[in-house]
Parts: sequence; structure tokens; C-alpha cells
Amino acid sequence: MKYKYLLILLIVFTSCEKVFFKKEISNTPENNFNIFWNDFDKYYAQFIIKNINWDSVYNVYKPKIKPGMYDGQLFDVLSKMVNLLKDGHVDLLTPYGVASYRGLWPASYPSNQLIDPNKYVNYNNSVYNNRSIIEFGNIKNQNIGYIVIKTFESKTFGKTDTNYNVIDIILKLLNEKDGIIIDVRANGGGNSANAETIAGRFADEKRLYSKFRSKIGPGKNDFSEWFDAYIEPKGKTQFKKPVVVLTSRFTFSSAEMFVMAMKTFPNVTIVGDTTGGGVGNPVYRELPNGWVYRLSTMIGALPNLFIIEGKGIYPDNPVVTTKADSALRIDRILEKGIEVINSKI
Amino acid sequence: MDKRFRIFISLQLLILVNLIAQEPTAPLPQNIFGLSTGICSHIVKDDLMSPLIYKGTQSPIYISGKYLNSNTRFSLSLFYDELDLESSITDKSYYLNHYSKNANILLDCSLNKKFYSFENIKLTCFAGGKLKLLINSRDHYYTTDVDYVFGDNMASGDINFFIEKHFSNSEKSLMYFNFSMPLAAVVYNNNKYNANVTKNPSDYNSYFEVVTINKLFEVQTELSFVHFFGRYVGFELKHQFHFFYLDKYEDLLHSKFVINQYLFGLIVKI
Repeated sequence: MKYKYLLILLIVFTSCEKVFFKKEISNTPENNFNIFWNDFDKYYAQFIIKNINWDSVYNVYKPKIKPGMYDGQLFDVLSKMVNLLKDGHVDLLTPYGVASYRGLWPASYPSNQLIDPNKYVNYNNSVYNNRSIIEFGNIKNQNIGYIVIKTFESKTFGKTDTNYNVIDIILKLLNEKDGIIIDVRANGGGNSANAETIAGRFADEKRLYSKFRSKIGPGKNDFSEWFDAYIEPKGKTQFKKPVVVLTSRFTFSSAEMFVMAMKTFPNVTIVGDTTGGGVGNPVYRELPNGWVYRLSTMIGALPNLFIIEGKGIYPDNPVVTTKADSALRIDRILEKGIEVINSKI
Repeated sequence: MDKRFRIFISLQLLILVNLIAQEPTAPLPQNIFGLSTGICSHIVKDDLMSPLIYKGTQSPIYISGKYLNSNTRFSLSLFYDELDLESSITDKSYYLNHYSKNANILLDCSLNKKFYSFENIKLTCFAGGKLKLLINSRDHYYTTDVDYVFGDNMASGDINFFIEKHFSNSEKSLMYFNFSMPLAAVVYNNNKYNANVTKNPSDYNSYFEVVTINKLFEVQTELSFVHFFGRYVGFELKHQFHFFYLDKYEDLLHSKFVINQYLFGLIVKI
């Protein structure tokens, strides 16, 4: 047949998956374990800081992986590996639940909670905004504004979510106050661009607020250089009267970027507990069994290169709310914040 | 079968029935325009995105224009499709859903000159160049609310070979085979080591990088059968194949991409 060669070509190109792609990775406990371990080995940025020998982790946990073991058993093994890292940016999402380390910020810890905010704050509902992000009002019997930022999350990776621009309206309404308390105790982070959007409304000038470096290769020491992060004035006007930022162990990730930025301004005091300690810029990966996991790819530090990973940012005025305080509905951290503002008026 | 595809085929058959004219084919030079659809399969393996292979099928839209004279073949074409790519772990009914929303645009323009002819078998060989622009975006969902955008975007200058075969018993039919391969390409890269991280944070803005076969291996072929019913109207059956292998980050992370498509379309000679 005259056109047999064209037919052969057609068949070759049609069967392209086998010709051009290696065999698909099969869903076995060994493959899932190996991909999980290898991805952390290649991408995870915190092994040296946390003094973890990942090769040893392999030697300990690989023998526990058996052909034909149940998914539940695999979940137990991988969960233990996740917990070893003590990193709030590491999660394993599975049908069996989420494996993550929450040892640093138990939600029940009193300092991590807003203790009966209605006891201290008259909320202002005059501005339509997304109240799952920001609420604001006045401290009762004081000429002090109160803003609680509950999250910095958004779907705009690397770019500001315009929902956060509501801060301009809020600051206009609080402009006559003697000072403002910003509460990020319950803020677990999100997108650092949103943190900069808010912090920029309190900036007096462009300032260096953080340094960071990323894992950029598979070797243990394959890191980028240290890069500088700057905060600068944003919005039409900036609030330059006394400001207090309330922090807790729950203040984490982008919320810590916010605290680092605010800490550089001369009119800002950080009050509360040490922050959670992690600005890992996590990425997601997936396994052949459909599970998803998240791991940190970045190391963040204060401008003096104090690495906050696992340590957190120390407040200027350390205060904790004890269980006894909590039982009596006393918010020691907020009360200290009010005291600091009043002392600066 | 896709509803859009069925409507398209029905319309074409109706037009064909009405336009068939028993006249001889027009002499060269000719301008031929075509509109096709069919079945297109995508297979993607992107190390940045997943260790798994993602694939899907869709009915694409393919628009082409050709200028033919005795020594020259000039062609301009646009290919577009949009589909969800799925893998062995995709389950869209579940929180951990795993799929990619893939959009693909391929625009190319080729110019070929005759360099040899086998008169006895009515086969003519052309060679020349092709300029090609590929825009590919994959919004990959790891969970219902976690997704990252990946993609492969490039413009390339290709060498192009074109073989045209006429049939001795019919002036109205011809077959051709086209092969192209880039000599150099400009790739829109962001040099990411993973979905977020680059060597330099300013690389988030991405940049254009000139690459050759050291970073990009790409092949595009096209096998087509054309038949005219009359002086102006005909149909084209086409198989297209497109493969590339691109270094995304040094020689560590790569993307591999295959488009394989069978097209059927209406062509009009002006």
C-alpha cells in the first residue's frame, strides 16, 4: 500500500502516551511514601533551622511501610513525620482527616483568644465590609479605636485583595481617636500582600521590615540569598498617632509579616504573647493516592536576621491572659494595650 | 459526543450538499480557508504541578488559511481549546478534587518554497520556516479552594518541511504531510523551583528567555487529506500531533505536553 508509511506515522503519534511518557506512578504505599519523603527532601526549607535529619527520618519510617498496608496505617506513619517537623505550615489532607502540628498555639490557650470583646468594645457597623476579615469600633469609655483583623487570606496570591482597602474608610472614621489598638491575636495569616496593605496605612516612611530566603534546589543548602522586604506608606493618609498591636501564639504566618512591619514604626508597640513563629510560604503537592500535603519553602527573619521560624516575634510588652483571667472575663492583653496607648497620649 | 461538535458537523454536511458543484478545480494560485473541529486529546506532565500525568479530550476549534502557487505554500492557522485535565486521582465530587482547567491557544504561520518534485508520482517537497505562538494555562486544583496557575507560553521560529501528494486519478484530492521543529524559541518563564518560589522574588513578574534545543524539544506534525467536491468547496480530514519537552527550572523540573487531534472541516477556495 502506497501510504503505509503515513499510516505507520499516524499509529506512532496516536499511541503517544506510551511513546512519550514513562509509566504512570502507581498508587502503592511505597510510592506514596517515597514521593512524600522526596518532596520534603527537595522543597522543605526548615530542616537545618529545626535541626532535623530527614535521612534519619527515612531510615526510621521507611521500614514501617509494607506492601498492601491500609491507607489508615499509611496515614499514621505520614502523620508522625508531619508532627516531627513542628511546623504550622505543614499539613497532610486526607479522607482520614488532617494531620498537622498545632502544638505551638492550642486554641484553648487563653492568650490566644479575644476574651469577651463585647465587654471592652463598642463595634461600629456603619461601614459595609466583609466582617469575616475586619471589624472595628471604639474601646468603651476611652477615645481609643479598636480594629480586629481576623485573617489576611484571599484568593489573590501575591497581590492585594481589594477587600482589605476598607481600612482607608475605617481609619477615616477613627481619625479623631487618640490611638488605635489592632488585634491580630486570632489571625492565622494568609496573603502577605494583604498584611502590607494594612501595615502601609501606619507607615511613616519606607522601612526594611523582614529578610527572607527560599529553598531553590534539591540540596540541603540550596537556598537563595537573603532578600529584603520593605514596608512603605500606602493609601492617601497614614495614621501616625499611638498604635498598639495585640499578638498571641496564634498570630502566625502573614500575620507575623504584619507584626514585623508594624514593629518598625516608631509609634507602634507590640503587646501580648510571642507570635506563632512561621512565615514559610507553603506550597501544595499531591500523592498518587489523592492525598494533598503542604510544606514550607521559605525562611523568614527580622531585619537583624533573627530567624522567627519556630521562635516567633517577641512583643515589646509581654503579657499573657491566664486561665484565671479568662474565667473572670478579664482580657489582660487588651487591658495592657489600652494602658500603653493612654501612657503615650 | 460533544454537542458543539455534533451541531458543527451537521451544519457542514448541509452546506456541503448545497454547494457541491460539478466544476473542475480552480487553477493556481489559490486561497483556501478552513474551519474544523473534531477530537483533541491533551496529555500533560508538569513536575511543578504534580508527579502524575493529567489528560483530557475536547472538541477544539481550528481555523486555517492557505495561499498556494506553483512554488509557494503559505499557511496561517489558529487552534483553540479549553478543557479540564484529569488524572487517576481526580474526584470532582470531593474536597480533594485534583484537576486542571486547561486553556490552549496555538497560532502559527508558515512559508515554504518548493525544492524538489517527483513528477512521476505527483509528489512535491517544500521547505521553509514557521513562526509559532503557544499560550497554555493550567489552573491546577489540589482542593476545592487551593489552586495554582501553571503554564507553558512560548514563541518559536521553526524549520518546516511540507510534502504534497496529488492523485493521478483525481485532480480534486490531495494529501500533505507537514513537519516542523523549532530552532529557537522565546519562552515566558518564571524560573520557579516550585509553585511559589523563585530564586529572586522579583521573578514573580516572569521574564522572556531565549532557548534552543538545549531546553526545548518540540515536534509538530500534520497529516491531511483534502477533497474538493467542486470548484470552491471541499472537506479536509486532518491528524495533528504536537509534542514538547521544556526545562522549567534548570535541568531539574520539566513539563511534557502532547496534543493529538483528529479534525474534520469544511474548506473553501477563493
